[in-house]
Amino acid sequence: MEKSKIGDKIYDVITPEEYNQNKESLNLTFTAIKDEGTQMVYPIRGKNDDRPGIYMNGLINIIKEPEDGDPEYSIDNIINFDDAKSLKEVIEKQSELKNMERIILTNPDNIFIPRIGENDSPEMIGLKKAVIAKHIDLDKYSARFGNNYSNDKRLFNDDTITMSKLKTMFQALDIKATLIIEDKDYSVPNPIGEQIFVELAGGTLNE
Amino acid sequence: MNFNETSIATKFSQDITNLGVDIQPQYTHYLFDSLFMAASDFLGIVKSREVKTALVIADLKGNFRFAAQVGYHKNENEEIPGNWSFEFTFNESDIGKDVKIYNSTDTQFLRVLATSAKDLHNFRYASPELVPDVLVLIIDTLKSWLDLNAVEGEEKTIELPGFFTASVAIENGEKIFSITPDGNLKRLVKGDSELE
Repeated sequence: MEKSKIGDKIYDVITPEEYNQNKESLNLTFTAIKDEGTQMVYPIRGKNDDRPGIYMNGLINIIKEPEDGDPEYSIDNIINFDDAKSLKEVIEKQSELKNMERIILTNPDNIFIPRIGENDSPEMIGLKKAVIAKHIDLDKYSARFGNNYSNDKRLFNDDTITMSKLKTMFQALDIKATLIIEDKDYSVPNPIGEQIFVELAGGTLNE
Repeated sequence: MNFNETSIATKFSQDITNLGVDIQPQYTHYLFDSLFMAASDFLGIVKSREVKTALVIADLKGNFRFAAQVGYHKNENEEIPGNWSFEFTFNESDIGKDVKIYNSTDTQFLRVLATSAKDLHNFRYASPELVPDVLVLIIDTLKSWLDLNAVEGEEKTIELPGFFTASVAIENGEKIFSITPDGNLKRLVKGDSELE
């Protein structure tokens, strides 16, 4: 596995051959192609993009070179987990990757503020309040959501959310969420008699 | 007529879908440019003073479509260097006997083609296995346009500046197709020697 940070994204780096073999299953938004000839890494770009990278046009792939050989695009910038010779090296590389991600996540370009509506369910209000408090650029977390990011982001327009999606959100956004189950009050018949704590989400998807 | 003013790019982008791929018309000339550049570059590498050398594009069944060929012509006065000739043709009969022939499926040529693609327009073929079919389609689309636009008593010409001029005329009821390389490509082939 090879990774590289270019701009505000961390990309899976693959060879052209690996791309041809697996293109149906790749998340192209987070995939970059390395070119051993030019010693550069080219993120796969969409048709409406104009940044340096590789533009897939069916029969041909057109490369737009970075200006002045921007070192972020250099093959030397790749973190290669495959060549780690020990567990220590793997941990060091993971740490390096985490630091790269931290830099991306803590440099927001566009703060995402979901609107809390009067018909929002309590769990939706909780999620939206947490996101507002985090003061984040949600798009920078898109890699955490995978291919479904656009659909998941649209859920913030709804006034309710399923438990499954709520857990996905919490995990992707590094939010720990705990469900407390207890008696409604002391006088209910057949009381539970204690508080039951259930951790719904406690870390990132990567952990 | 300039290549960009013809319908060739649109027709090519329609026909390429038969190979299960697509390309936007505005990029079609990338393929044409790189083919003719590569043919010239390749022959510049493999040319010989002893024997004429040709690069031939043919379909999978071996049906001839196009050739680029280079030959050396010694000067009668041996103290004076001879000349190189460089030609394109749609006619198999233009390739003489005792010509060293390379096919467009030749690995060395395909490497040169990849280099031309990169040097000219910084692109690569997404599916390299389709390249031989694409080269045939390039020639077929070009020749088809000439064929459809041939007019009695008038020569129809297409120019892809920097690469070739192709034309068709009707003589005695027969369509005569021709294609000549641009001067830039001739210089590319000749290297340090002189062309006719």
